[in-house]
Amino acid sequence: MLLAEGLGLPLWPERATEFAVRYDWLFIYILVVTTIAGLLVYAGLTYLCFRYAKKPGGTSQRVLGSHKLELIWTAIPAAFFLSFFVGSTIIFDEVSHPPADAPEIFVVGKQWMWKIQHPNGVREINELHLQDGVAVKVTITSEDVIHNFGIPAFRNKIDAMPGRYVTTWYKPNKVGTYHIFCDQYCGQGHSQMVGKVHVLSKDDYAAWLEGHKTDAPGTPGDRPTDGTAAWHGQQLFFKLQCINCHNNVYDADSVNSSNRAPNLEGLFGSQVPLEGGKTVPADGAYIRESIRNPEAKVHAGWKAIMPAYPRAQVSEEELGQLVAYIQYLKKGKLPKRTSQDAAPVGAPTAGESLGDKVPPAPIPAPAPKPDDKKLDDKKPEEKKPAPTKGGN
Amino acid sequence: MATTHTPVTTPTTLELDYTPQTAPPVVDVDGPPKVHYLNHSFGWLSWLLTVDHKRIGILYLIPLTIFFMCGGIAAGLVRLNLIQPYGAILELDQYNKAFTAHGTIMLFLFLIPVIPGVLGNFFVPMMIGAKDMAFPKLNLASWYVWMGGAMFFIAALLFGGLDTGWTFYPPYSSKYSHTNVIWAGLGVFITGFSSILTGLNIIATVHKMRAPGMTWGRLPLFVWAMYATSVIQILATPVLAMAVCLLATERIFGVGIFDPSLGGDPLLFQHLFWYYSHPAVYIMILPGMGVINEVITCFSRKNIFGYKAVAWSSVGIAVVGFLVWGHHMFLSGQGIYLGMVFSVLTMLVAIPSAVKVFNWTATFYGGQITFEAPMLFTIGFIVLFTIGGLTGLFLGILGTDIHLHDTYFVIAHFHFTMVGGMMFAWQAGLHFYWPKMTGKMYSDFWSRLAAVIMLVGFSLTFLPQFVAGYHGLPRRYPYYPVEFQMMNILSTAGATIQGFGYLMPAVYLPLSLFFGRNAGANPWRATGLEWQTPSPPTMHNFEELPIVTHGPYEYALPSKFTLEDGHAHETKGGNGGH
Repeated sequence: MLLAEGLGLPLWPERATEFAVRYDWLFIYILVVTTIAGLLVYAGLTYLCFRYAKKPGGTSQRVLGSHKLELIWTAIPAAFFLSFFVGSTIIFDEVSHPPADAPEIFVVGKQWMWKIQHPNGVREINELHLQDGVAVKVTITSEDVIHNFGIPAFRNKIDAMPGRYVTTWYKPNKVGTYHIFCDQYCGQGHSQMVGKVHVLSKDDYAAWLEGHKTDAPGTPGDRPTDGTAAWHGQQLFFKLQCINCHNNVYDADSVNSSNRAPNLEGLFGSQVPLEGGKTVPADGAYIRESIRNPEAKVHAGWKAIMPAYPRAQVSEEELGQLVAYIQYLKKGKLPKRTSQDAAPVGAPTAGESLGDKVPPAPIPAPAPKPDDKKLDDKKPEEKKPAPTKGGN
Repeated sequence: MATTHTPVTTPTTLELDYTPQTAPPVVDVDGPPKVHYLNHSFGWLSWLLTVDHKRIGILYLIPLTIFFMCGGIAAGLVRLNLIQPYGAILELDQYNKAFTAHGTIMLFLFLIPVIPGVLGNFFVPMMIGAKDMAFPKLNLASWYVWMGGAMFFIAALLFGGLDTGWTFYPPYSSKYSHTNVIWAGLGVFITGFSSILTGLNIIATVHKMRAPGMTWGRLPLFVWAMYATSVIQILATPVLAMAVCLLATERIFGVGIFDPSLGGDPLLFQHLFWYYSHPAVYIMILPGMGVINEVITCFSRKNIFGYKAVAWSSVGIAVVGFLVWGHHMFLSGQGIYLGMVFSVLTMLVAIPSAVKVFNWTATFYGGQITFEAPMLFTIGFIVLFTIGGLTGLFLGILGTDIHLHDTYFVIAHFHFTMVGGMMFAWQAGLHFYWPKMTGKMYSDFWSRLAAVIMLVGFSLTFLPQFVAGYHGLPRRYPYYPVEFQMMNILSTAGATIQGFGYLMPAVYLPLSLFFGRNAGANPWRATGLEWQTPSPPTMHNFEELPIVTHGPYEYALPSKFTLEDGHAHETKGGNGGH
């Protein structure tokens, strides 16, 4: 690594999380042990080569081996390897378990860009703004092929697998700008699937949030704040007619009535009973699977009648928004099923279209399109003066 | 002094004493025999229809050398392109095709078949005292199958190329790539059969064709290594064939197997692929390790240190090597518990490799070491393979793999084992056995120089990549952040030196056929049965059935047949008394 300085690279790669520091200690420990081991082999090799170089008239000794020595040089490496294994498992365990209260950032890889969505609805492409000292959980998936979301300064990297949610987390502790790389070969533009992560101080982060719609957690009412992930999810919930079955209308008189599907209020985080007595936790991966492939895990007591929604109908990004909405749907949050009649998605809305509260009109473009990257910047005037608590 | 030119003799009695008082005979004859395997018949057909294991070995050698050069040219294009952060010579697509061509050619058409195909075919029967392989015709069929597969492969790369990387990960390969995935997959599928047939043949040969007295405990360690390799080839290759078939099914018929948008699971492919391809790196390295045993004992005039440990470590690597494939998928969400199992098994498979390195080093103890080209390559192997093995530890455990996964650190590690290890072992084997295969001795000076140049060039190429990898540079990047430029330039400079190193044997080895002096039967004064035949060997290897009375490496014992000083076939490379 000493060589690196003066050759374009810093002496030691930057570290912007506490995890990176712990990772480096493990790396250094293994590096020191392996370097010593390697040097011992080289020293032995060099000594023996000189000491036993052929001499005129010399004869070699008939040495067949030594069980004692072999035992030693089997046991010592084995012990060190075991220590590497233990240390690295601890490190991996740490990176696998996000803090429970961390806000969730949703990342979708797509040939060849990263689409990032914050829980407060801010969306970015190839850029990720994080607040110094605030841990975030990151859930990653892909729309097409396998990608890998790597941030060297965080010593973190995770595959973006199509059809799966993979999670990791960061808690940046150093203000700065760092590389985001795609580390899994994904085709022609693989090396351009790069971005920057900006770690901002609390004030800078707040300033950056200016001009972005933010959610207001705990705001009374039964609809999510405009522009947030959950808000987009609600739009989709109507557009895709989810509400037709997943509603809270239980009276048999109504046309289309009835409970053809479970009410999703309070679903997120609960245990869903399946036929046969098993239960499955209702997390993002479960909801995702239940939309893409509804027959995989059917709620006990319900018929498997839900149509599947392939990617042609719901993109990964939209899926993430639906998950955010279902996460938002606490008890009593579900709007009336008939709300949709007054307000087709995309139309300017007014009145009690999406609930009892009057939303500020007009509503911006409903379903996000992949190339809609400047959406956030285009309509700053619509920003709702919602209180932004702690930025998240 | 009188020269004891003993005729080709074998002891007449079968000694069962395990602590023999004399070494096996070291024989020499004047010049090559009049009729040997190269000149007993002529014409294309006599080669293309041959069932002689030695000729089949040569049949492998020629295309393998050509494929190595093709793969080397692709590597040269990749390295040249990387001297500038935005690509010096290639478009993005061209770069992707170049690194894929490099990877696939080098792995499927060079590293996997090279030592089993050339040295395995040529020397396994000779080392165990057999006249040929157990199934000579199957052996030839295996070559044809391999060439057929290779042709599909080469056609796929020449006409349109392939851009999936050698790993063929779907859904990129099954749906998004517009290149010749099917044809290349067919090539992999067909060459796989050749691998299986060769493995079968070697296993049958080792079991049934050993000369009297050639017990398992007296087998040369190269044969042990080839045996372990063959077991892996037979058990693992069918899984690759299955994976490729499923991939083709998905790509051609749109059946959802791996693509999640069709209801498949991309991780399934990675499981199937690495179930073959991790053992496959042991298919590549084990024969190389076998060669190292032969060379290191010969040039230090020593028994191998701990025969049993080295033999069983080959078997241990072969067995445990089957259980570690999941360490390629630590980051794909397979879960920490599965990851822990694969991680601890990976640490387990590292132990026999470490034992081998220690035993080789200890073999030098008490020897009479000389430093001819094969020995220099072997020392280069130990030096580089040690780095390759130790850096593998970082990648085989869960925690450190997070950051290093798919960076240049992996590239450097892999090349240290595969080039620093296998390529150097192949050069050691080629230089060691060239006099036996051709009857001619190559230039001592140029061969030693080539070994040094390759070592220097190799180190300069791949040591900077460890640094670049730790700084986060991902693999398979034609464009890269500008701060990595210096490291890439160093790498490219090293690759240039390395390229010259590889060109040198391509010049002096063929020249030795015309200008080299006769090697004599046993220029290195080695003890193996293969050296008790004339060089080049005659059609059926042994005039009389050899009877084995010794372990394989009894260099330290006085031999009643040892050549005295001042013999007629003095070679600078010789280990006879000077």
